[in-house]
Amino acid sequence: MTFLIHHLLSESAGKYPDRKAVIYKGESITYRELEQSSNQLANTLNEIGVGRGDRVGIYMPKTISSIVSIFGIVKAGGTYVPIAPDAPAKRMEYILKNCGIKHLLSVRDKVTQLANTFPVDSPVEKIVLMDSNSPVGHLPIEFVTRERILNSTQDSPPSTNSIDRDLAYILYTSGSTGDPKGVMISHLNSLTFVNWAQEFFRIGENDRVASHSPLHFDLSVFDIFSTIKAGATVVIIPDGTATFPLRLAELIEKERITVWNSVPSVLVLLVTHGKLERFRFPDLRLVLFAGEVFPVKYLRQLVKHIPHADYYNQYGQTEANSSTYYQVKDLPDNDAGHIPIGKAAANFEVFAIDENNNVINRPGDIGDLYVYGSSVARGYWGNIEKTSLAFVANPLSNGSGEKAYKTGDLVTLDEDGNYIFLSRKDNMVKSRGYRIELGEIEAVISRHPGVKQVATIAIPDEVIGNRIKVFIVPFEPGSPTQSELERHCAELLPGYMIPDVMEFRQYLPMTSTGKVDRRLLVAESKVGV
Amino acid sequence: MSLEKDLKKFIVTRLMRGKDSQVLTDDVSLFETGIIDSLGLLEMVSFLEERFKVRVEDEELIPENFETVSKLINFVESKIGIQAK
Repeated sequence: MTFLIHHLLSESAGKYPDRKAVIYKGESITYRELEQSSNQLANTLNEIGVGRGDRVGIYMPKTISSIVSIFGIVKAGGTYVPIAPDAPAKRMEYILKNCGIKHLLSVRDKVTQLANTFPVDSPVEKIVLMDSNSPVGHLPIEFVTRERILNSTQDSPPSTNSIDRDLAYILYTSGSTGDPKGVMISHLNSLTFVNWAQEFFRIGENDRVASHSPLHFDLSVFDIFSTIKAGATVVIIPDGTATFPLRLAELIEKERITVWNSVPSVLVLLVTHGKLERFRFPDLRLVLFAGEVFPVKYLRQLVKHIPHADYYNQYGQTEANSSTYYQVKDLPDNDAGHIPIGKAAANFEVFAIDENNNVINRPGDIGDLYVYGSSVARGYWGNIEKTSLAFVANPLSNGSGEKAYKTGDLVTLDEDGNYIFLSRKDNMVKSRGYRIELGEIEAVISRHPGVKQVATIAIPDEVIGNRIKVFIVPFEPGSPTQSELERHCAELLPGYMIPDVMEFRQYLPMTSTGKVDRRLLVAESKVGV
Repeated sequence: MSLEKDLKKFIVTRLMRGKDSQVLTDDVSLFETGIIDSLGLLEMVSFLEERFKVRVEDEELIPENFETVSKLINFVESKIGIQAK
């Protein structure tokens, strides 16, 4: 029976032992090797105390080792928690403490960097070094070395009694009160999407699927698990390569990528700076994008350069995975047009409810979008209040108590029954495909003792979705300085959440009801950022 | 000298935005450390074009030119055709 995500690997390893499972910078690992290496890691983790339901951190650049780590952790019954390798120390500390990570998988370079900032009171008891045989520095933590992993049995994983409602992973996403929220995804939640996506997009053993998104971003779930289910090859895009559009284009062609999945902004840069006219990409058959709106102007150019690929807009959230899809066939004539988010995937129920509590069903009706089904996450780790606000009694289930995810997105319908995204109901925005709660940025800046008042706005941007601008009223003019405040933000926020523009003011405009007049701030900012 | 100073100042104030500037040595990879992402790269290009009056072509956007501060200095110097002391 296949009810845990690592069963996908074991089945493919049985069918395709010698096929390449993962490629990274010229190195590769076969399905047999990935199965065996992850068994060894799982047995090691089991020996050092990782059991069913334990959270295990992954803190390393995305390489073959990180894919082994994922499968090793879930095979040991654990829940993997990816931490961005460039996360600020305090954010990492929050995640470690929030979900109680006792075991951390990492690599020598990253642990060496950590040595001076590692929180003394963190729950981490053991660090597993995936690439090294000697401990690092003076950290008062037990190290488990690569040698020990290689000495563990590779034939089978430990027995764990895991069931499909156990958590497979926790992904941290922006939270409006100043701390990130850990979205709890069970094996069942994940498989509901992974199974659909692999079948629907016909991922087969000959596909070579690019893995561009970082592991803490939920687009990576498709790249890894749908690919492994198919017995296909995961081609990891090295971090540096994605930065250079021309290099990325060369890699897509040279590695014969057949399936691409990313946020639109990466593809926009490929169109604008990747010299696409030099390439044909004969193998590329499927381009998936998600996470933000793809500007029609650039999508049109992409389709023109690569006419033989199929293009799909996928829509979803970490809390319910991608729940709708739309195949782009005819682009709007007008560059200002919007590409629909489409219709529900199989085994997902998606509906929108209007102000009068009716399900919308006519073009032009507007409602709040809900997702219901087995993909809907278990909630936010250790945060019952936030969980109860977003995971609500399914309004269509007549009191059965089943939970639906309230996305907070307002949508409408087109003539063909496709949903069209209109706007958010709260202060969440997208930038570079990442979710940003403007409230999180405000909460973090407010913690600076010199800040009296702060307001954050998003300014729409053609390439990255939104730029973030903050208005700050200090207690004393000239203190803190912009660079002091940037340092403060960098200690607490990931890079994509650090405001692009900071403006200091003596006071903020208020509305008649005594709130900060954000609309006025947005209007003023449109005149010239 | 002022080329190096200008470059570093731009990287620290506009791209690192509050991150610990001690990380920025001449040979640290600006990309592996996350100091410059693809959008940062384009900001860097705008800065170079404006500050040093050079034109950067898309095919010059490669690690050989942008990976480290040293490589950037060499690249800009070769663009403006002067020799470092």
